[in-house]
Amino acid sequence: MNVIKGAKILLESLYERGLDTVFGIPGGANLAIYDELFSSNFLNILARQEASAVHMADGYARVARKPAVCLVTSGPGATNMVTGMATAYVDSSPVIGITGQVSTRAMGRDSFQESDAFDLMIPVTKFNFKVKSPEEIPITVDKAYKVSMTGRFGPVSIDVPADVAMKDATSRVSGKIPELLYETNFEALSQALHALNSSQRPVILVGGGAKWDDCGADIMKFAEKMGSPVITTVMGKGAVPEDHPLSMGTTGMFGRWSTQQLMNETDLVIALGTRFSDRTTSKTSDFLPSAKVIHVDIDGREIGKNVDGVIGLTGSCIEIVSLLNSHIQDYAGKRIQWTVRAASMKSFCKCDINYGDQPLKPQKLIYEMSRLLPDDVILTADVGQHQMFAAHYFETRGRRNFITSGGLGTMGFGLPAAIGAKIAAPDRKVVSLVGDGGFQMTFSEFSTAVENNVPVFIIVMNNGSLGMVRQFQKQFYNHHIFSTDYEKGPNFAKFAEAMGGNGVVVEKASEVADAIKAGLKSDVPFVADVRVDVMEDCLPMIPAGAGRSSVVFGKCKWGNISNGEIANFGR
Amino acid sequence: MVKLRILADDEEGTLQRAIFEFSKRNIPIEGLFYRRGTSGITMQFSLNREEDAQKVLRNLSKIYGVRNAEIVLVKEGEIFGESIL
Ligand SMILES: Cc1ncc(C[n+]2csc(CCOP(=O)(O)OP(=O)(O)O)c2C)c(N)n1
Ligand SMILES: [Mg+2]
Repeated sequence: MNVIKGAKILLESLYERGLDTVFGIPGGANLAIYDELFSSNFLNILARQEASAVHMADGYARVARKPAVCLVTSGPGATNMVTGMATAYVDSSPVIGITGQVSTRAMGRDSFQESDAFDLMIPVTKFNFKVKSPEEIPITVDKAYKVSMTGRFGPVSIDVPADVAMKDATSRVSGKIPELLYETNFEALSQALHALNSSQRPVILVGGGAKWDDCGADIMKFAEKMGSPVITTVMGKGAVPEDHPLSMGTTGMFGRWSTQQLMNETDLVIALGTRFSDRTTSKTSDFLPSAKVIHVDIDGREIGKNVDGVIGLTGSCIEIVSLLNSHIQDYAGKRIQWTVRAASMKSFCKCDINYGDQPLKPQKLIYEMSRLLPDDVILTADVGQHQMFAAHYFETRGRRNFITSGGLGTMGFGLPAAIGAKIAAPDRKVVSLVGDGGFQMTFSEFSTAVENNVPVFIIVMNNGSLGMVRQFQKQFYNHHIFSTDYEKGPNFAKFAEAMGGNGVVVEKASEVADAIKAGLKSDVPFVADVRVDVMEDCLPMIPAGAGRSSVVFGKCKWGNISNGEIANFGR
Repeated sequence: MVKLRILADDEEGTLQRAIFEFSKRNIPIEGLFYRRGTSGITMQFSLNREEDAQKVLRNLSKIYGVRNAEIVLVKEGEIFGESIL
């Protein structure tokens, strides 16, 4: 074979597997790779901070359903990468992270910009590798790709010392390992079918796992045949169209109370690709008081991890939903009472959002977004009240997608994830809903969007505060609002202009629609700085670790009706 | 004492990953043997409680490259089937 440099082998190996986009930042230890990138066919996006570069790759992967590459330098480059990888890991997103490393001679000497990237990445990746010679790069890339994309997806990283990247390989170790197998286990199928056919009041609970399979249409077919309402977790939001009559919206800590009500009454939950996180279940002893659970997950470890006594089916959602669909009887007609009851709860759950023009309420903003954003919009949400308002009020109808850091809850994810998403789907509108706090964590990436002509539309729900934390202080720490309100906040529209984009400040409800239309029309990155009422809490909310009975309803209508009235729903 | 034995491909980092599976669940490791051989690596963890072993077992078996993870009976004075004396 021709003599070929390690860095070139690395890029070729990635490209051969269909990976063609790199998000990253150069530095001493990865310069040889950047030098090869210069003459490669990769799309290269220069980020402003490494965690953001990973969030971009993560956003890209969640839309393209294939990995993007994130390339950082050693030392601080690698340590900055950790938050991004941890975010991707808990949300099962296939990012391939490449960390440059000091050369093998310098390793272990506390050399300049040496950090133990290999060991740092262990708890935040599905697996990670360290290459010691250019010859082993192709097989390592093959392993990395297969590990990240087999079974439950997840991030993988490869540590590449500078001398390995620079060295020529004299022989090329075969670049392929056998396809990896992932566990499937359908032993409980007949038990599951029996439970399905004998259930009176089934509920389908859809988690993030189902989104990776893109099997929303199959799930709704299954729901129709079953006569079963469908509820999503925050991570599952967007997996199924929420304008479908059986679709009940999002559950969890800040979810719709109708979903809590149904889960309280159901006798069978079919859980698809959810790990039953504490944000979904609240206190587990209060969760699903009278239901059996069929737990479907591609990762056998998740089955029964947080909820006991489940009927477990291990495999991909798409495969298992179609298997169940082909085996169950058509029971929709027999469960008509249950579906009518669910429908009446859904309609009771519609809020009256006719608030005044000012102060502008967060609910009104989300309502307008729901009304005006296109049916194939990709909405990325950052972390905080705005995220939970969106999970609650934004309707993911049509092909709308909802992307958020649901597992790690990483502030600063929204904007860079939107940039990655837009690069993966340039023909779709990509909107990012962020808080003023989270936006300030990664808003330097606005410049990345401008520079690379990635016209994302950022809606800052600006309450002048770390609103979600403020809400907790108000509700659970005796109103001690401390270190959460900003004394001074930037004008984010002027910021956008200064960075080469466009922006508008919105202060009244009546101005929201025009701002959204302007943002959608803009061919440069655009910020709508929407000043909302900081006094408005995101409710209802079940306090962390508490049960349903501790719910804080606020003005939610469910708090004002009696159990007797609820019992008559749909009757 | 419960013994957990893990056989895995010789991939660097597998030992650390295995240890993290215990520490992140607050499961104390009472003893550990590790051996790198020509056909892979073998690790044996000693734990106080059977329920901890059960809890961590399936997580260990999901680590890439792990071929087998199981609870084993070990004779006093032996490790990996050989005398340690
Ligand atoms: C990186 C990071 N640091 C801290 C937190 C804790 N936290 C959760 S929500 C929140 C407030 C978010 O404020 P903002 O972005 O303005 O959104 P809002 O809640 O006001 O809508 C904070 C600080 C976090 N989730 N992530
Ligand atoms: Mg805020």
